[in-house]
Amino acid sequence: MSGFHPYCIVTAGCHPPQGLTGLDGASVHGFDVGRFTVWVSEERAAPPADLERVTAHHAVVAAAVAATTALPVRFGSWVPSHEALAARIQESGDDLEAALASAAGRIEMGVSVRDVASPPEVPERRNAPRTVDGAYPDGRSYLRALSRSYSVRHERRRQQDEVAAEIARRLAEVAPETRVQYPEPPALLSVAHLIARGDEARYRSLLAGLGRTPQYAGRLHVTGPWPPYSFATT
Amino acid sequence: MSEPVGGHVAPFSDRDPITLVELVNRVVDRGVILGGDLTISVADVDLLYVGLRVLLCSPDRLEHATSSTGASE
Repeated sequence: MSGFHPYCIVTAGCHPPQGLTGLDGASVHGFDVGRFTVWVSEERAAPPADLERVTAHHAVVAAAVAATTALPVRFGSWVPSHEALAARIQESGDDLEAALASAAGRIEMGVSVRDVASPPEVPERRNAPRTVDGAYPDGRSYLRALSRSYSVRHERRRQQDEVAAEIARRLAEVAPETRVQYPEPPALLSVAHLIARGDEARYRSLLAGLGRTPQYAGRLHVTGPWPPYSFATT
Repeated sequence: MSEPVGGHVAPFSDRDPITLVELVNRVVDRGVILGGDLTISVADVDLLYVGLRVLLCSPDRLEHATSSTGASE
């Protein structure tokens, strides 16, 4: 018996267009569960993540958002049966309905901030000597190295919080809902915003203004519009 | 009722790397979780910004890669 790969959740009755295909060319169809319809395709087992499948998943979600308000389902949420899918939807029904209402008429935009070229500055300390095999010769050396490591991470987080606050201040009028992520270098920060559909140009303009400041020149990258991936966290 | 937002469904070669990373991270790390069998949620490793690595290595290697680079902050 085959299981199902779900793509997105929409209001009941909004079915995918005829001929829409998803992962591995499988036909996408709508599965009705109470107040919702889940767009799914049949998959015998949890599909592996590769670029082609990730892109195919996104294409189906984008097709749904082109037609109605849709909540993206995270890739990999394979379910073994209709019954299992229905049970999961029903137990989160109120949260899903609230999320759909929140996403209505809105789009997700994103801005990623590149790290500065050099690592965060921290007060220089004496280099902790190490033995040939890389071990620390004594406890003091180890603790000194550990302290320096904490300082670097603390300084990086301080920079991230500072940048996040500046972006929030710049976008306060168009993007009250945000999701902040703390990526690894070379990215410093990634922020997703849920904005009204008509505010995209204003959003880009506000960030362009920030990008013209010396501190952020060449470091900002705006992406979107996206389906509300970062705000569909039920 | 809605305007299309699928503007990033262009072929891979048409995308810039940052947008591709943003796409992968959104698809594999965000969104409603319906099944308990998340393909790429490996040993609770945080997948923030390792999207491209997800596409290039097996789950056991992914776990090693993220732990060695401190991706799970």
